[in-house]
Amino acid sequence: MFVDGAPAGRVTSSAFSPTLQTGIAIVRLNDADLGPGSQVEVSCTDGKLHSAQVSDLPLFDRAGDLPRGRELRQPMAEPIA
Amino acid sequence: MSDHTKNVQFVVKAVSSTGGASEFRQSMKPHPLVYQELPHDPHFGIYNGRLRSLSYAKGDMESLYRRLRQQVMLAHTGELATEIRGPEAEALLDRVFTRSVAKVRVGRCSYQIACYPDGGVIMDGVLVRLATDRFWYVQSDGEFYGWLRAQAQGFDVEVFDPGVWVSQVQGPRSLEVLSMVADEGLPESFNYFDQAKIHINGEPVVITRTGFTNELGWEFYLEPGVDAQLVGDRIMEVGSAYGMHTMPAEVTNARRIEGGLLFAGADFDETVTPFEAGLGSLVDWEKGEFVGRAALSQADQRRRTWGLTCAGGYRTPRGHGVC
Repeated sequence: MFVDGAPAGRVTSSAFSPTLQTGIAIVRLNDADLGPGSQVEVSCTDGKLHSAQVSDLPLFDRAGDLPRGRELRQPMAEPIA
Repeated sequence: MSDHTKNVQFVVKAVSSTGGASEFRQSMKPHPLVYQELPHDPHFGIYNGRLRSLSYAKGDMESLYRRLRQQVMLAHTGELATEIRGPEAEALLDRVFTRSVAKVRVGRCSYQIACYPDGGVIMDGVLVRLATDRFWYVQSDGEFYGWLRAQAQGFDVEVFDPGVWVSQVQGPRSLEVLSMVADEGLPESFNYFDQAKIHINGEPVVITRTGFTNELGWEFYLEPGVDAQLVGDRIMEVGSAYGMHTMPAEVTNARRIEGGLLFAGADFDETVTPFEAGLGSLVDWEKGEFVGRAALSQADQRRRTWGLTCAGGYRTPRGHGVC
């Protein structure tokens, strides 16, 4: 990952999210002052750099309603918080 | 990386038995219910010396993911349980883990991490309190058993491998399946992170309301002496009415990243503190001494592990593209 062309951290795991319809990852940032909302460039498996946004985790269902059974049905396509 | 292996990945596949060199297979043990996955031509990886299906050559990953989000799915995992038993089991675990173990009641589970003295995270997993003096620590991939044995010196405990295999039933219909497969019906109380002992097809089975998908779900633990096929066949028979299918790690992996569930050895390892890994809330300063406490009290408590969304992320033809 890069910010303004300088190394900014790395992707530790990644996938494609059918729910969010976007590439998703867990990342470790070199600079602890960066966080959710920060814009980075990420090197993807297509060999190209793509713009990406640092986000809080979980990427959705932040209150944990789904595993607790408080909300059993959630639409598949949800806006990214 | 050599150009010869740049576009190559290595997997384990089921083939007709060839015999020979069987001792090399001790680090790639199959789950007792693996036969349920074989029709889908799985590619396996190694997790805790056990086979874990990574993907299916026959099957559309996105459709399996949708079933997990909307119905119910079954995963046969490589999670590894270690049993800690004896009068000082709680004391040992309270020394090894960063959260209070004394507060975990019998019949409850607790997500627990352990650190080295320098504050680096060794392992994460679910601690199940089966009795006052009896626990299972169901860990992620990596070596932890030796560390626990070494820490147990001087404590009146036994630390051993109970030979348990773990599977997960996950998805919004998962508790309906449980109510149908449990000989006794749904346990009277089975809240998030509860543990219960039930029978399936007459076989005794420990279950916990946990998982690795952040969906509604439960896990079941197959102990030695239990007829795993009687249990597995009953769950699949009932689950089929709800669209249940087995699922490889490629499916659960997308969901656990969305859910912010970390993968030991990848998303954290012994080179990062719980704070850096985003697990700082699991460091309990109110409890007594634990391994790593002194180093963590001096550590930078800022977080460096986050999620990422990448709208232009590459999507492979098989539907599991990545950033």
